[in-house]
Amino acid sequence: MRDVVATQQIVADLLIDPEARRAWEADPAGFASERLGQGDEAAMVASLDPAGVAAAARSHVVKKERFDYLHRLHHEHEDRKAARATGDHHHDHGRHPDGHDHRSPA
Amino acid sequence: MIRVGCTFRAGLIPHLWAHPDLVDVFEYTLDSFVAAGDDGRRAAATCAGSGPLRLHSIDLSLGSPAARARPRHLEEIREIMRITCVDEISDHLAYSRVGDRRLHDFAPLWRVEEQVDLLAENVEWVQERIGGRLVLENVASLYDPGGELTGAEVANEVVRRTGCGLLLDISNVLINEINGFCDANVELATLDLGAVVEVHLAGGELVDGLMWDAHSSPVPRSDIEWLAALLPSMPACQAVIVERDERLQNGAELIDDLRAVRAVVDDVNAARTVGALA
Repeated sequence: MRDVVATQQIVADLLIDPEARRAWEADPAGFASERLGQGDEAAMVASLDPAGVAAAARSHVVKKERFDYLHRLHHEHEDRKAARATGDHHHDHGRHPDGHDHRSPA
Repeated sequence: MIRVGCTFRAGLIPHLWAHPDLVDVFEYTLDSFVAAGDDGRRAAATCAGSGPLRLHSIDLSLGSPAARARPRHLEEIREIMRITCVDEISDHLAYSRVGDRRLHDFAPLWRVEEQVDLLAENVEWVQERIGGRLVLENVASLYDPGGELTGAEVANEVVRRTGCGLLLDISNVLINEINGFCDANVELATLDLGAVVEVHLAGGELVDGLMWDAHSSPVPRSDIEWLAALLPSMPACQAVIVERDERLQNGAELIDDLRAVRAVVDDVNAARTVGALA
């Protein structure tokens, strides 16, 4: 039984964490086996194309920046709307429908 | 009847005003409606009242356990579906969240049986909670996790187990072939075209030897030729959507793309009408 979820954790590390990616690039097989053992999971992670993973990591950064910018605009809009409704110019509109708020990690 | 449309982007609207005959349907990003709360629900109702629409979700992360981590998000989707009288939404054959981390992108699936099990369980779980059907789109990728299955085999098996539909992004298949990750002929010959309810097309961008699914340039002629070859074999197809998210100022390119798609779709619709009358 191959652990797909464990590989997803490692791939996410490679895409999001530059230090993890550097360690993997320096020794893909060692990095993968240290985290996933000696099975198919480690073989998959070790076999990923470094250029492709680096490109996907750049894409993550660009899209996260865009998301954070739009997210900030949205909250500023919501705060202005709430302030107009209450007369409180420091209003914090609180949570999104999905449960996150201004302080949630994006 | 198969409809022709494009992604709804405010920056595209001025280009489309002079061509009302080219767009039958807009595809909206469902997450935008959900994130905007009451405003989003009102906007969704307004959009639904102005013409046919399709709802495209981008962050259900159906390939990872995160798909089940946000039941409140699914309730919001269900409400938007009710407001817009839509009974199916699309998302991707990919994962975009791992635990509480967002990837802001579609990570390609490791094409192994265990991934199919997880994906199918998630699709069933989500379909139950939104009270409608999911339509799953193949993604383009910049790296390939591989596996013993092809992308088409993964898609077909999830359709078989869950009754979901497919959104065939022809451009994504061809991008993956350019990047060396698949044989488009094999993928498209294997895919269950009877399950395809929607088609996407878009122009990519070649950067450092890798083709990106950038939605930024004209749809390649080869993609239109594939559409013409495949569309007659998609009896359930309801819409062909041109995706355009970047370089919106170049609206003439979108108009040309829509005209090319319209020509193909009109031929298929006409053949179906003749077939129905015969």
